[in-house]
Amino acid sequence: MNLRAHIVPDKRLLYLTSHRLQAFSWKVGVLAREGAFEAGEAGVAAFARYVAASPKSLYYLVADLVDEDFVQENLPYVRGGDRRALIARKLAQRYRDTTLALTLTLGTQQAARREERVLFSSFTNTQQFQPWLEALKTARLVGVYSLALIAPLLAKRIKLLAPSFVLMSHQESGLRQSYVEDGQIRFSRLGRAESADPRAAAEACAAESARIQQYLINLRVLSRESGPLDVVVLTPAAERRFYEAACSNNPRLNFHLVDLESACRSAGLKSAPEGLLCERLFLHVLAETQPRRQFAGDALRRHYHAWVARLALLSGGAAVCALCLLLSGLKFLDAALVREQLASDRLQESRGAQQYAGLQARFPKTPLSREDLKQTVQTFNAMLRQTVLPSPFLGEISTALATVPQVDLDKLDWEIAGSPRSRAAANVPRPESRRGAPAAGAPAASRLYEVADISARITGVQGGDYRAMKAIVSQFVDALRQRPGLEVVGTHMPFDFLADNTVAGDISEEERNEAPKFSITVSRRIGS
Amino acid sequence: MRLDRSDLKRLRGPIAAALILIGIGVAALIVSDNRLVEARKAQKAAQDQLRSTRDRVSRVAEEEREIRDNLVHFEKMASRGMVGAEKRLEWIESIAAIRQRRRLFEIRYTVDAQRVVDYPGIVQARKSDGTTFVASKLKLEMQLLHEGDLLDFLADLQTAGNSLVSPRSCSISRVEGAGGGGGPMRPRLRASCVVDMITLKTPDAA
Repeated sequence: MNLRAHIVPDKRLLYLTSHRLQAFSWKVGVLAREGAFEAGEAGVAAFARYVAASPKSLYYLVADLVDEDFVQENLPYVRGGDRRALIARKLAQRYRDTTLALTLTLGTQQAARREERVLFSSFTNTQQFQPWLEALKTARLVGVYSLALIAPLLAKRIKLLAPSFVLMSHQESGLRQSYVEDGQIRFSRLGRAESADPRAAAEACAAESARIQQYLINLRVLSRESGPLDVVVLTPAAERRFYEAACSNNPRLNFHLVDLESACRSAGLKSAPEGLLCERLFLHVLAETQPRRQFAGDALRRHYHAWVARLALLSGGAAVCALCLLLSGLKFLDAALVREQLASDRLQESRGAQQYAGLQARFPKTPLSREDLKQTVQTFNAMLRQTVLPSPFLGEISTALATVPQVDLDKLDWEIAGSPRSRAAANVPRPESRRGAPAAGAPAASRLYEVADISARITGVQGGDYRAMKAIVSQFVDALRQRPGLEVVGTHMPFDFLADNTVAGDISEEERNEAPKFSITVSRRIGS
Repeated sequence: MRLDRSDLKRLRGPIAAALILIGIGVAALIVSDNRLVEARKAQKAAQDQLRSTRDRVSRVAEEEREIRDNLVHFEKMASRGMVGAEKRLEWIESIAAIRQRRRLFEIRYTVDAQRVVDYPGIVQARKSDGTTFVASKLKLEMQLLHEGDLLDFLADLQTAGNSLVSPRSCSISRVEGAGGGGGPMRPRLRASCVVDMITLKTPDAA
């Protein structure tokens, strides 16, 4: 299978005149004649066989006929469906058969209301197309074109820069005169010309030029004050002298003779069959540029559209695939670079590990593994921080006790505890626990306390002298508080002065002789 | 462009081909993306490891110093005699020696069964070689002339070594009727203490 032929099929150009159809193949600027088919059943049948032989080619039908109508009209400026409906209605009003009709927008103009200038064009006698189009029914017909549609493109290819001009060209069918304004076709007609006699052809060209200028003025396409009309004449080099003689400039017309062979060369036409006049240039420009606007409706172009859809699907799929493969290739490349970097990182890591192992060899030998040794030492230090002898703490209490000789110690309970206040509160239900005491619970490691419960008695004071007792206990509490780090966290007095506790007493001789007792809980944070 | 049903039927092949092509492309993209993600993940892991190795190399001097420091501490523990099996006999001998040297009254003692140290805030991580700090509760009942006897006794016990001596509680109370008369050498105070004798139990000591 020839893939290229699938993707870029051969282009076949069909040049239709009133009496025959010529078929050409076109490839990279080379135009080759493949057949000529006379109008009539035999010619059409031969043409059908020709088309059937190349079903995958793209066919361009170029009509060069007299029956081509051009009308310009201003339409209200509408868009979308409304515009389509309006244009379809206008075409139906103007032409009996709209199968070969088109519209070209010529821009908008602002009058009392905004309007769109539209050029309607159609072949008025579509009957002469029918046999040929019937033969092309199963072919990939790209479109039906006229020389008039191609004229602006041709002018651009051969670099005609005038804003408006008439392009005069001789073809097999006659003398085509196309008026181009601002790069758009505005009017075209086919006149008779004697191709066998160059002098007569040149004179006909001059005469037709004058006639079309007058006609355009009558149609109000040209204004009378617009000055001389530029007329570009495509002339074979061999016949130039006849045209120079016949086409002389005047106040109404300015002639510009363009050498046909030079124009073909500058347009990129490399070779064409002998005997072709200007149609070769038109056909070449059409094959190269393939203008969007053409006359055929969707029904005639169905197979071409199917091919375009197929091509679009395949090329779209291939494009997406190619894009994905490209991106994927870039990602693979990126991944390869990353892996390269990864290998380098691993090598460096391995060297670093070796270096570390070498340095580690110098480390002292340890009785335990390094991590275990570290944890053991950490645990030991933590335990050491919790390990205290009671002597310093008891020494502080002893110092405080020495300042209050009336206090005689009965009992002292010392221990390491987590929460001295809650402990004191548990032992002695005193409201001192309200003073911001932490809640009872598991003590934090860093908050361990030495706690001492001091039980003592007061000597030298009568049992009923609560004021003296209170003063001595307070003196002892103050002495304890003055010792660094010591905190009194609970006191149980011989008599409870606080209003929220029940008070009971026994004022008797026996009670009076007994030394009053009290208790104090004192604490010190370990490590303070 | 307008296509009818029969045209669409004929486009089945190209549609399938286009879908296959797109599928191939997308599959390639997914595979390459996965490869890239994996490679980047591996690279990140390798870079983290490299960074960690470089850190270790740069901190090797610090690590060595830390090991030496730890060794000093460990040696201190060993010199206290607290590494290895419990030295209960030595403890008892120490108690007797202190009593004799200090001329103390009666000392009664009880040593409880060994247990793992479970002080608040101390979590003993499971070590690869099975070393653990264990404590045996030593309960002491003493008769004292004065409170200094107890404090001296505890200090001497700590100095004697053979373990980390960690007093947990002590209770000192007056002996009833000892306050006034009687000879000068009668005990006036009674003390009861709980002391943890901590050792580092090693696997060979188990």
